Amino acid sequence: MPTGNLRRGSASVASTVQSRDAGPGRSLLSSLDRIRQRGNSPPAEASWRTTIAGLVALTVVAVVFAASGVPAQYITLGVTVFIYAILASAIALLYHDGGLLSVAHGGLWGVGAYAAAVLVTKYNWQLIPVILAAALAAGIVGMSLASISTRVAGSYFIIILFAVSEVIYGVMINWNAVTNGAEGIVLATPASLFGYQISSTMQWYYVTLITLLLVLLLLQVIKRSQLGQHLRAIRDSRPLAMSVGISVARVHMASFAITGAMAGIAGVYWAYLEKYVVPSQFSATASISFVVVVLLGGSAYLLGPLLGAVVVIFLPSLLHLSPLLADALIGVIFIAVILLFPEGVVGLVTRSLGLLTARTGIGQWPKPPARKAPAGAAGDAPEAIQPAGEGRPADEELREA
Amino acid sequence: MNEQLLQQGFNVLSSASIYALVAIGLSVIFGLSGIINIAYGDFMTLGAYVVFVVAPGGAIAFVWGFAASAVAVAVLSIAVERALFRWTVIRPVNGFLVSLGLSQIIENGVAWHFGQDSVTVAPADSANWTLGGVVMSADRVIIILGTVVLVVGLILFLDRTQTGTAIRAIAADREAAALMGIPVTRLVTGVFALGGLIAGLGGGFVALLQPPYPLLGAELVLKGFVVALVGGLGSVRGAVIGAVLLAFIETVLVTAGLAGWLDVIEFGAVILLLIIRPQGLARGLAHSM
Repeated sequence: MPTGNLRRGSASVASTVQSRDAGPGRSLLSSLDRIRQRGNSPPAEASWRTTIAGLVALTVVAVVFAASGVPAQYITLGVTVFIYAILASAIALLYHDGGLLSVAHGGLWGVGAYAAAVLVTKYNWQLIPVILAAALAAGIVGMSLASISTRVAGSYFIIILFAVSEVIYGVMINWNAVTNGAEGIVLATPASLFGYQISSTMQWYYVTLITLLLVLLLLQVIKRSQLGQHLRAIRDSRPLAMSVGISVARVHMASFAITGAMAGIAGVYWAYLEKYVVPSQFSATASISFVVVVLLGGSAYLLGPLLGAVVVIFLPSLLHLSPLLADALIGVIFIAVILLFPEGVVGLVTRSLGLLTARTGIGQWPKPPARKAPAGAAGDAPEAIQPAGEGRPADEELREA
Repeated sequence: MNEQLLQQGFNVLSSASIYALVAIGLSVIFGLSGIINIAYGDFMTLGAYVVFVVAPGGAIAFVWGFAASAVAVAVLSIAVERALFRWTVIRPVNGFLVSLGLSQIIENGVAWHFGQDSVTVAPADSANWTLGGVVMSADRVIIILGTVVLVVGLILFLDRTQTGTAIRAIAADREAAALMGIPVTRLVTGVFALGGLIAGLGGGFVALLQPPYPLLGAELVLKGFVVALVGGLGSVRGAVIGAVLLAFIETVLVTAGLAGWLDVIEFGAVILLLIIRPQGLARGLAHSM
C-alpha cells in the first residue's frame, strides 16, 4: 500500500477503439435521447417552435431596447452582452451536451481578437475576411484541444485547459513581433463591410445581434444533428459510445473547432469594440468569467448564456457599485445559483412556470434533480459520488424510464 | 562555480517550498473531496494579508503573524466547507464552480479593502548568513525549514496515526470507509481545516518572499495544480517532488535567459506530457513508492 497517498482515480484513459460505421448505434442513440426527454432533466434539444420563439423574442426585446432611447453607454453594454453571449453559448454547448467544461475559450477568444487586430492594422483587411480568418485561427487552436479531451477527463481535463489558457496568454505576451507584447495593439480604424463603414456603437449593436442570432441558430442545428447526438452519447458513457462506433476524437474535434471558431468571431467584435487588445484581457481570469456567465444563466437553455451575460454586464452599472464590489457580488450570486438552482436562472424560471402550469404534476417534474445533496446527509451519501465531469447521471434516467 | 551551483540550489529550495505548500494543500483536498479548489490560492493571499495586518513591521511579530494567519485561514476553510463545499459532494464539478465564485469574492474583496497595488511587509529577520560561500537570507531559511517541518509532519500524520489512516481510507473508498465506522463528514471538515492551516502558513511564507497583492494566490494556484498533477493528484510526496522539479526547471530557464517564456514552456511541457502519457507521472510514482 503506497502510504501518504490520497489518490483518487479520475483520469480515464481512452483506448483507441475506433470503428467506422455508426449503423446499429444510431437507433440506440435516438432512443437514448428520447428517454432523456421524458426524464426530469431538461430536454436534450428544444423544439424548433421554442427555438424560433426564443430567437424572435430576443430580436424584439433587443430592437425595442435599442430604439427606446436609452443612454449611449447602455448600447455599449448591449454590444458587450451580445459578444459575451456568442462565446458563452459556444461554451454552453460543450458543457451541456459534451460534459466538457472549457476554461480555455477565453484564450481562443483572444486568438480571434489578435487575429483581427493584426490583420486590420498591418494588412487593412475588410470585416468579412477578418471574421473568416479569425474563426479559422481560433477553430484550429480549438480543434487541438480535442487531443486533450480524448485522453483525460474530469478534473484533469479542467486543470490541463487552465494550462492551455496560460500558454496562449504567455505566447500573446512574449511574441513581440506579432502581438506587440504587454503593450497590446490599438485598433482604431472602423470596419468596412460591403463598402459600408461600421463605426458607431449602434451599428455594432445590430451587427453583433445578427451574429448572435446566427450563432444560436447554428448551435441549435448542431444540437439536433448527429454530431450533437454523438456528443451527448460520449458525455453519458464514453465506452458505450465507442462500442457503437462513435469516434470520440472526430466528434470532439468537430465540437471544439466549431465552438472555437465562434469564440474567435466574438474576439473580432471585442477587438473592434474595445479598439485595443492586450494579453491581460484574455487570461485564465477571462475564461473563468465566461464559465460564470454560462452557468449563471443555465447551460441547458438556448437563451441561458445570454441571460447570464445580461446579469454580469448590467448589474454593476444598474446598482452603481464599484466594479470590484460588483464582481464580488456576482461571485456571491454565482455560488447561490450553483448550490440552489444548478440549472441556472433560466432553469429556475422555467421550472417555476412548469410547476405553476402543471395540472396533475405527473410526468412534469418527477423529482428534484439528483445533483443536489440531501440536507445534512451530504457527507454520508457515498453511492452518489462520481468523478467530476463524467456528465449527467444517465443510468438514473434509464432506470426511471 | 561550485558555490554558484550551491547558491542556485538554495534558491531552488526556497521557491520549491512555496510550490510544494500550494500543491500539497490542493492535493489533499482533492484526494478527499474530488474538488478542484481554485480558491485555495486566494486562501494563501488572505494568509499573506493577515500577516500584513498583524505584523507589518516584521521581526519577532512574525510569530504572531504566522499563528494568526494559520488560525484565520483554517477557520475560514472550515466555514467554507460546512457552508458551501459540503453541498457539492455528489457533483465535485459543482465544488469547482463554487470555488470559482469564492475566488472572485476574495480577490475583489481584498482589492477593494487593501487596494489593487501590493503592500509591503518588512522581513522577519533581515540577517544574511554565509555558509560555505552560499549567501542565505534568514527569511528563506525560515521558509525552507518551515516547509520541511510541515511536510514531514503531514506525512507522518497521514502514515503513522490512526486518524491519518482513516483519512487515507476515505480517499481510497469513501463508502467503505463510512461502513467501517469512520466519521467521514467530520474528517473531511478536518482535512479542509488542515488545508486552510497550510494555506495560512504558506501565505505567510509568500509574504516573506514578495509583497502581497490581491492576485498573488491566483497566479500561484495554477502552478500548484500543475505541480500536483505531475506529482499525482492526491500524493503528498509526489507534490513535493513535482515542486522541486518545477523550481529546478524554472531556475535553469531563468539562467538560460528565457524568463519571459517560463510559463509557456512549463505549462506547454505539462500539456505535452499529458498528451503523450495520459496517466501522467502519477501512476509511475504510485507504483514506485
